[in-house]
Amino acid sequence: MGQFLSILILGVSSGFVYFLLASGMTLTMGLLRVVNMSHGAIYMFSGYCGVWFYQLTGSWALAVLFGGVVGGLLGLILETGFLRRLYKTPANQVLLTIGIINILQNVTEWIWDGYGAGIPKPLFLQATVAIGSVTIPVYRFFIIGFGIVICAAIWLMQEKTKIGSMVRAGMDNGEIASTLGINNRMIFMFVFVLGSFVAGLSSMVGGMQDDIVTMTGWNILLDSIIVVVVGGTGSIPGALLGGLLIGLVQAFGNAYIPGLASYLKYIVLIVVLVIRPEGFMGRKLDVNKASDDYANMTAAKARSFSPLMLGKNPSAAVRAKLRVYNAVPYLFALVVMVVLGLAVNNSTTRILCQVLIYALFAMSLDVVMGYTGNRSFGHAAYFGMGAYTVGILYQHFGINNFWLVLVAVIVVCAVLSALIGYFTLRLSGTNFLLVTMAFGQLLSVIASNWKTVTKGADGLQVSNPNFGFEMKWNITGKYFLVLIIVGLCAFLLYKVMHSSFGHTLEGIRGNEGRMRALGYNTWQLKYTGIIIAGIFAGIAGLLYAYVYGIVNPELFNIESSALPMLMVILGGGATLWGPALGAAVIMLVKNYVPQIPHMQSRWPLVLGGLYVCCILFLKGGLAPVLTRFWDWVGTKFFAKELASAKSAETELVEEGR
Amino acid sequence: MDNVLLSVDKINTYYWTSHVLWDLSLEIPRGKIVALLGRNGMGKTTLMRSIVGLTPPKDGTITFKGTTISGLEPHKISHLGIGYVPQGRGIFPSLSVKENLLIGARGQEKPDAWTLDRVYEFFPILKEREGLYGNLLSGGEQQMLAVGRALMTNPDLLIMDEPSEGLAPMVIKQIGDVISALKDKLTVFLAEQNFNMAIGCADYVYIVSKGSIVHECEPQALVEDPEIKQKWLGV
Amino acid sequence: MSEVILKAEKLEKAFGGLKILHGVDFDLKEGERLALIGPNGAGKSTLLNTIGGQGPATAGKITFYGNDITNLSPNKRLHLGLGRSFQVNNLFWQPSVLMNVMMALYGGETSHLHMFRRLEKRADLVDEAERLLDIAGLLQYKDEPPTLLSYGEQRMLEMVMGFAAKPKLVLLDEPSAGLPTAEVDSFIKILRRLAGNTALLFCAHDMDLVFALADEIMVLYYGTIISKGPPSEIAADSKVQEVYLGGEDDTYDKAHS
Repeated sequence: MGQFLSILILGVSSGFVYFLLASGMTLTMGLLRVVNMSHGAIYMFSGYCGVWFYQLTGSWALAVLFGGVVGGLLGLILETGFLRRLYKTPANQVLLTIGIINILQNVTEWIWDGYGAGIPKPLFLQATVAIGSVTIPVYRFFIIGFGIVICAAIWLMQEKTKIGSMVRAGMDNGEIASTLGINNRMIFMFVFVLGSFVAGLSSMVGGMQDDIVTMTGWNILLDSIIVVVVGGTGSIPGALLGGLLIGLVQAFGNAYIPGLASYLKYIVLIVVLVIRPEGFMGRKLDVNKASDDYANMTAAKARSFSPLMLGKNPSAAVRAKLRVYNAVPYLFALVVMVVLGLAVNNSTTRILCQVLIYALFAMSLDVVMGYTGNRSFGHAAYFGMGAYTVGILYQHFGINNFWLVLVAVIVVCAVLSALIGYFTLRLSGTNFLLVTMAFGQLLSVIASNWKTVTKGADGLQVSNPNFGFEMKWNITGKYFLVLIIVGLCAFLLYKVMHSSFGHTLEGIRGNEGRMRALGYNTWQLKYTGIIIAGIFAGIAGLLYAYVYGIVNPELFNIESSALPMLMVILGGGATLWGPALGAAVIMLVKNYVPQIPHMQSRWPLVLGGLYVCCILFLKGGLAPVLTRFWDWVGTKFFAKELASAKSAETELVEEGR
Repeated sequence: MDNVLLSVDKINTYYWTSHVLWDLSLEIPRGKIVALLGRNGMGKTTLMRSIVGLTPPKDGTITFKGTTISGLEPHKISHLGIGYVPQGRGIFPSLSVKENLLIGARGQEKPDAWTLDRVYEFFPILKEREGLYGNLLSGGEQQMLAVGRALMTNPDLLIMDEPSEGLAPMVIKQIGDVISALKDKLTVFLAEQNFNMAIGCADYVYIVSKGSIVHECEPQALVEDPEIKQKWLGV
Repeated sequence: MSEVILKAEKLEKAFGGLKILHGVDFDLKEGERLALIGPNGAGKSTLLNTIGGQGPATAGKITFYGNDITNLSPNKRLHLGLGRSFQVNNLFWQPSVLMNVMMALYGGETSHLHMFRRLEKRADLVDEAERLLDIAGLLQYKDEPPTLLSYGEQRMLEMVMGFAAKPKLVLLDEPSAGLPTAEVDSFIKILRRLAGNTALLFCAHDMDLVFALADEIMVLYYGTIISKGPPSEIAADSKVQEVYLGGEDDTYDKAHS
């Protein structure tokens, strides 16, 4: 009995910590449709600042308040400086705020040398209370009380005050609200700053339960996203309900079924979404509004050169010349890769391997994200699964026949993507993004915890593959194997994306409702797209495992999913070659920045800056820029043919008269 | 003319790439009820949205009480004294009737201002429904709420976009009576498809077709001229 | 006597507390061109969407060629022979006019999982698409992106896509909406050619179009059908006149009694 009570109180108090974080997120998601991934990082950073202030002044209460002020200020900067420009493009908000996490986390590491914050407990909270046979720390009751006060305050603000009614009006219909004289931007800012303030205020309180470390930004983010989605976006009571549910499930799970406890919250999330996709208390989000920015980002503009300009029936010579013109960029890339593979030293070759593997990974994501327009934030699930399949087959079954393993990876990843796709495809927009992320995270937890199979954080060693014929398994050999396989996969993806099937995916991205009315089973087509993407991501994972010889749970983590997303955005979606190029840029930066003096551990900062800059300044990615350049080359290359086609056309028109 | 409250001068408005309003000009005199008639898809709603700032014109100017308002944000235009009753009414479903009314309330200190009490007096049904959430009202009640909500901002000009849309005839008549009753209190600019209702309460009529004003007259002249009615309104 | 192909029984549709359709009954025969008219907000688009599958009916039943399609997805409805076009141009803005029609033709086929076959290489579909574009007078623009077409041409393309898969019945939502008056006549001519013997259910405000195209007209008023009959009968109906001019109260009472 005593033990039950103690677990109950632990569950409720951690539930309130979840709530404190989720309340700010749920408001911003409900009102602004902004998924603020950096919410947890704001909590983390405010905690560190609070501790610093505590050490300075010795006043705990002031330090709590200071945490809130820091949080609020960060929110203000983030909203006015960055997010305000992106309210119409949810995918970009996600990436931008991920960039902010990287920056805040690295800055914290920089300032505090990577130590934990060491959240202090004031004397009056260090006591314990004895209830029957167990003792319960007083601070837990304090957290519960604090949570209740904040919850009541936010709820009263939202339900009973005029500004609260303006917030709800903005969630319902911001356009109409503005015609009644309400300045939506002020309301947005208010809500964003309020949410960040609460996160900052909670950091010194919540930190008493689990100390804040630099990774807290990521870890707590996942939990609060689960709470928000389970509770329903935009609802404060929903966030409370979700928070308590997850807190209790965690606490009781840890006590009674420790082996499964870490999976429980993900299972709760998946079950809730299957039964009630809008969450417990959520309103149905406007699904149509989700088909937004990304779809039109790479929209066709009038081109300065297109093969059609060469006239109706170009001669065989012109057609051959056209074929050369079209093939040159691909051949050029191939030649560069071959020459580099032969010329550079071993450490550079390793980096080039990474470029190629991530290029395949990013191209596979492009199928879902660029072509179909669904932003998957759990793509690392397939990449990691491909790699782990290699590891598990070798460690537990001694299989390292390359071809056998390849088939196994394809099958496993197809099954996994079929499974995840089945659950996630009923969602769209932001919820799709969050739930794919939860699946990726679930796999990461499995990889870390199921030690008998995965060896936990140590990871699995992989030996050299057996090809059934002699092959020199040095770094150059690896490189050319990777080059051949990635090249073949890219060719296959190119074929599939330019087939009738590929066109249907692009049609869905453009206008799903119309596709259905035209007779397309869009669910089946999107589902197939997800499976294709999963298989190719799995192959990338397989290559990773064989080239680096080790697989570990990091492959699944949220940053591994964010990276290919950034590559797609940087390169320009729905082109395949764009994301590959994006992968090259990012992998080269990632590998060469740490070699600059004083920059050894500043890579996340640079990466964060890259996210922010890409999103603010490079909206369509690199692809449109390069396309325009190549079109310009086309007008020069075909100058003669274009002129004769034009004169032929004028003649035709004149004859017609 | 000092008497002009709102003047629209040669505005061109686009929805994405499609050009909807073409050099459209009109004037709304102070204290009158002006109706804008026209068939579906002729630009009535776009004009209304252009005036309140939701779909700003690409060029041309809109002047209200001597201030240029084209290009201002909607909330600023609202504060200058334009109330808007949108097409489809746009009631906030997660706000109660009372909250819907109070959300934009301002200018209550003037002696004959619209206050909550006066709006309830004007629309007794809203008083009865005070605590209900917006989406539980019938179409007619929603329309009255939308009018009441706009009145609470104490505007000089009330813009109404198709107040009769989707309403039962009895209710249309009531709404018509409401508009007529507003006559002495403020200026109304009304986009309508329901010819009889518009004619019944308007002092002056503009007809819009293909994004331009094609005819303007007193309502009586329109009733007496079936040819114009046939040509521009298809009735 | 031609066969009844579409039958709607007691269709109701509500959004929240707001009821748009108050029990609509009608049927449509093979090859019939039925116009749906009524003032703004009467529920015309809602009725078409309910039949086309863009929003399920709250109550009632729709039968098409003997199949209960009330809750069927739009793609299954198309494969039973029920196509539609939309009020707002609902095109794919890239890559080209031809590809828009190709997508409509390909949609009519049963499998869409051709992973290695380019849609542009389907000579049969290209020929058919070009034939349709020729009828619509759009052939010269086949390689342009639809954004470069005029509004009227986009409207025409929207029609072509509705008819491309050779459905037996096509729903048209305000086919001539927003067209310049000068273009309406040629639009009607082309629409007739595209339609051939296909049955049509269309709603429109433009009476020229209605009288030029319809075999039968039904009047929807405040979610109820108050009148149905051949054009001559409807034109003479005083009730319909009243509805359009903003009816007297008894019209509504009659409709709901």
